[in-house]
Amino acid sequence: MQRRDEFLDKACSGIRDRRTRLGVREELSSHIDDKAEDYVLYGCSAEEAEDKAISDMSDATKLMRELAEVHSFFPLKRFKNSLVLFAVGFIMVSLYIDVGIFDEVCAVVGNMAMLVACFNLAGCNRLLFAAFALSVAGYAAMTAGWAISSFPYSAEGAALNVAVIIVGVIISCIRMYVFGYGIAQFSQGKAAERARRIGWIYLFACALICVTCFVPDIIWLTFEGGWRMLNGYGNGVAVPERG
Amino acid sequence: MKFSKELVKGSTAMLVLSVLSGGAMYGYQIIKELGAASEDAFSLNEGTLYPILHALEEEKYLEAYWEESASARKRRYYRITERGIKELERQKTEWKEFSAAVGKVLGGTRYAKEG
Repeated sequence: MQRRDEFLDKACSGIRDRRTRLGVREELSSHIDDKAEDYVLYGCSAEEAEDKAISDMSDATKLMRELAEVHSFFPLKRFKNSLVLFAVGFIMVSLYIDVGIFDEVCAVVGNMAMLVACFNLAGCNRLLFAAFALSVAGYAAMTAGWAISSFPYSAEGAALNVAVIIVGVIISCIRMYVFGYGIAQFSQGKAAERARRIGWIYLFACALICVTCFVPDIIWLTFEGGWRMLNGYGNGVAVPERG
Repeated sequence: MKFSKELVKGSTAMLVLSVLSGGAMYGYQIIKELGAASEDAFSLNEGTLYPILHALEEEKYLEAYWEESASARKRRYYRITERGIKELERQKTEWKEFSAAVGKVLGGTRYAKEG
């Protein structure tokens, strides 16, 4: 029984969807039962029959690859489309062209594109779905931060803003890790190495944008907030431009 | 006579569809049926049948359902669909044309005519 479990675990390990995996496992197990039954009829002992039946199945690793390919939730086309959409969103969010509301429109459309790309990838495995949920949480936290910063300046508001942005950054970092790891996990065999590389590149790119976007924001809030407090502004009092 | 793996590989899906056109069967039954019909010329590597069956199911050429046997063993049966029957016909035609072309080359009819 232990050999059967080892074989079935290995053969089905490439199937991401739990329900499909259990179904395939049961189907292969039933096949082994049928074959073993025939061997018993030919005069083998129960143990010998089971061993022979398992040996007659294909090599577990080869079978795992073939099953993973058929049951992949990640058809290449969908994967490519999602990556292109994510890249477009990423570039749009990264644009800082201060012409009218161009900047704001780019940020909203870019974020939406990245979310849709994450959602498209989310069907692939649980980690990518978690990445999608974390994306939503991260963007919600950051949006809350921007909303708070648009209120009249106050020391409490500034502190809350910094806290919310830090939470947003932490959530985003976890999301990046989970997303990168999720991409790395989806694939088996030859494609796994390439997927892992894509995951790492994504992780690095996100970390870079995170540092360039949020660190200046936090520095600005700390120093500008400090300057304003030193000059006696705060508690909802309108602040004149420094100059 | 046993055929080389490469030769069988390209036609496995057609053979499976053909066997299933006779009625719904489960995996092990398909292997036995294929062996019997070909007088053991096509003995499939048993595990590799399942990725083929699942791929055909994904293409909607087959549909599958679970059924419990008299011995309370659950088995997954495969049944050919309308789409599968059309695909089988297409593959059969292709195969006939291909084997006829191979036959012509191997039989040397062209050279025989010229000679």
